[in-house]
Amino acid sequence: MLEVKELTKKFKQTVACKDINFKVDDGEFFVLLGPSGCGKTTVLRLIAGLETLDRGNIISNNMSLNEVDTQDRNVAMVFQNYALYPNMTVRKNLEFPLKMRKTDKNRIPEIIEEIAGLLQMAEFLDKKAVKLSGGQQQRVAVGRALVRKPEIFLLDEPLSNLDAKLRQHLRVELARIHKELNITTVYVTHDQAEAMTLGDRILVLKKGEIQQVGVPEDIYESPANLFVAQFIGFPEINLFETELREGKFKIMGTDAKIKKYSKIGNKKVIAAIRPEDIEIIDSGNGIQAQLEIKEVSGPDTILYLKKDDKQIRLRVSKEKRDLIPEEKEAVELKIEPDKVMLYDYESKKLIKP
Amino acid sequence: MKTKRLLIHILLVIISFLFLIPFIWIIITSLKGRVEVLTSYSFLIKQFRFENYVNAWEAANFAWQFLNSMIVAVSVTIGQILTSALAGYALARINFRGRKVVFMIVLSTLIIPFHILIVPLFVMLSKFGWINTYQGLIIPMVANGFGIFLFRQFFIKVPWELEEAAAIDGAGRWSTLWRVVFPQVRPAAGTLFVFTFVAEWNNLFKWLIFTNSTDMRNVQLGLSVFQEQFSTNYVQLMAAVIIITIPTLLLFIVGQKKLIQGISLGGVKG
Ligand SMILES: Nc1ncnc2c1ncn2[C@@H]1O[C@H](COP(=O)(O)OP(=O)(O)OP(=O)(O)O)[C@@H](O)[C@H]1O
Ligand SMILES: [Mg+2]
Repeated sequence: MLEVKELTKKFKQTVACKDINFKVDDGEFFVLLGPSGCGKTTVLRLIAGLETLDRGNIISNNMSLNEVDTQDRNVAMVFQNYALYPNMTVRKNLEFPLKMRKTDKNRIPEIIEEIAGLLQMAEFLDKKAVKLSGGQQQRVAVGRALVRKPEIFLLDEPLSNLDAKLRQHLRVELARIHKELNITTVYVTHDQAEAMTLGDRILVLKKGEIQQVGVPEDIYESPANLFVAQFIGFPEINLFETELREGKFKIMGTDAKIKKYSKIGNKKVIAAIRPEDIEIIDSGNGIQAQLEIKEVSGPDTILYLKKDDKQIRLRVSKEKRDLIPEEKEAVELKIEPDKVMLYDYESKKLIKP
Repeated sequence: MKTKRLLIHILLVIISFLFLIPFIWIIITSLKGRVEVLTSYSFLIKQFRFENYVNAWEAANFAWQFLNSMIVAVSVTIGQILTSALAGYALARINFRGRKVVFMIVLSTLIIPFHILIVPLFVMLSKFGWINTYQGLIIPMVANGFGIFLFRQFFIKVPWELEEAAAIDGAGRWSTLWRVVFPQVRPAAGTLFVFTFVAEWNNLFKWLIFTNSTDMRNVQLGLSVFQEQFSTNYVQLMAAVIIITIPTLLLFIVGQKKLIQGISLGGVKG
C-alpha cells in the first residue's frame, strides 16, 4: 500500500503541490487528473524520489520512503517522453533494470521473453530504441518499468504523445496488463476520458491542491465543486445562477423543485446539469430554445443551443435523434429536476442535502 | 537545381585541388632523385625512387621516435578525454557552489596561448626533475579548457530524464554515467580524440623546450636529421614527412563522420 501524507513542494514562488493526502491500495489503479501545470508530475516525481519534499511523508508498506534514494525505492516510472536509453537496443533497455538490481544472469533471458510476450515486443527486441515508432517506444518504456515487478508503478501521461487511434488501443492494453500483473499503479493524465476508463479511483488536482478523490462514477455524478464539475465531462456541464427558496429554484425560466434540498435555507446557488440530462421533447409546453450548432460525436449528437443569450449544451442519444431540428430552428427542452446538482454560490462547493 | 549542384561540385573539386597541390608536390618530391629535385620543377618523375622511403626510415631513428610520439600523443589524448568528460559533466550537471566562476575560468584559459605558459612550465618541470621524461611531456597537457567546454556543451543536451530513468532502474551514479550518459556524448570524445591527437602528433615546440636528449625526440624533431650542415636532403625529408603523416591521415579518414558531427553539435551555439 502506498500512502502519501501532506505532500508539499514549492519551486521558488510556485507551489507545485500542497498538502496532498491519499492512499493507494495494493493492486489499485489510481489516477491523478488535472489540467496542465497543476502539479501532477511533481507528485509523481516526489513519490519516485526525483524531487526532495518540502514537507510530508511517503509511506510504502508501512515504511517511510522519505530518506530512501530513488535507486533503492522499489518504484518504476514511465516518463512522458519515455526516456529510453537511445544507445541501447530494446533488449538492452529491458535488461538494464534487471542488471542494475543484480538479477540472476541465467534468469534474465526468460524474464525478457515473458515481458516481450506480454507487451508484444518480440519482433523489435533487437532494434535500437531510437529507431522505434512512438507506440513501440511506449511499449518498451512500460516494459522496462514492469520487467522487475516493482512495488509501485508510476506513469506520467504515457499516452499523450500518440495519435488518437493508438492511444485508444494502448489504453486497453494498459488496462489488460494491469489486470494481469496487479501492480499498485499511480497514473497521471490530463485526459478525463483516460482517467474515467482506467482509474479504479481518481484524484482531481487544481493548482497543486486536491479537489476530489473518488471512484469515476462519483466524480462524474456528484462533482465536489464547480471546478471538477466543469473539468469532467464532454461537452461541459451547464451552469445556471439561481436562488434556492424552500427547495424551489428557477432554471431556464421555469420553476423546478427538488425535495431533498427543501431543508436547506434560502441562498444564492449555481444549478448544474449534465448535457445528457436535458431532454429534447415535442409536447409543445417545454422550455423554448434555439439550436445553433450540432455536432456528431459517435452515436450521440452534441447540440449547442441558445436561450436568453446563454449557451446550453446537450448530448442527445441515437434514439432521440429524430427530434433534432435543423440549425437555427427552435427546440423544446425538459429538465429532470432530480438530475440537477446545486453548488453554493460563494464556496463553489456541492450542496449536500 | 541540377546545374547548380554541378557548379558547386566543380568549384569544390577546384578548391580541394588547390589544397592538395602542396601534398602532391611532397609526394612527387619524395619519389625523385636528390639531384633531380634541385634541377627540375616538373611534376613528372624521371625515375621512381621508392628507396627514398627506406633510406629515410633508416636515416633517422624513426622507430624509436614513432614510439615516443605515440606514447605521448595517445596518453595526452586519453587523459584529456577523461578529464574533459568528468569536468564537463560536473559543469553541466552538478549544482555546486561557484560553478559559474569555475566555468568562466575554464573558458578564459582558451584565450591564453601556450607560448606564454612555456617558461613557467619549464621552470616547474625542471624543479620536478621532469625534463626529458614522458611525464613532463604528458602531465601538463592532460587537462584542457577546450575539451572541457566541448564536453559540457554535449552533456547539457543530454535529457535529464535519461539519468532519472537510470536512477529509477536502480543504477548508482557511476553506472548511470558510464552506461547511460557517456554513450550519449561519444561524438565529443571522437572529436576531441582527433583534435588532440593531431595537435600532439604535430607538436614540435613542446619537445624542443622540454627535452634535450636524442632519446627523447618525437617524429617532428626527428625530421631535423635531414638538414645537413650545408644542404637539406629534400627527397628523404619529404619521404619522412609522408611517413609521419600517415597516422593522422588514417585518423581523419576513420573519424571523418564523427568529427563533423562533433564540430556541428558541440559548436558555440549550445
Ligand atoms: N523544476 C522546476 N522548477 C521550477 N518550477 C517547476 C519545476 N517543475 C515544475 N515546476 C512548476 O510547478 C508547477 C507544477 O508542475 P508539474 O510539472 O507538476 O505540472 P503538471 O500537472 O505535470 O503539468 P503538465 O500536465 O503540463 O505536465 C508548474 O507551475 C511548473 O511550472
Ligand atoms: Mg506533467
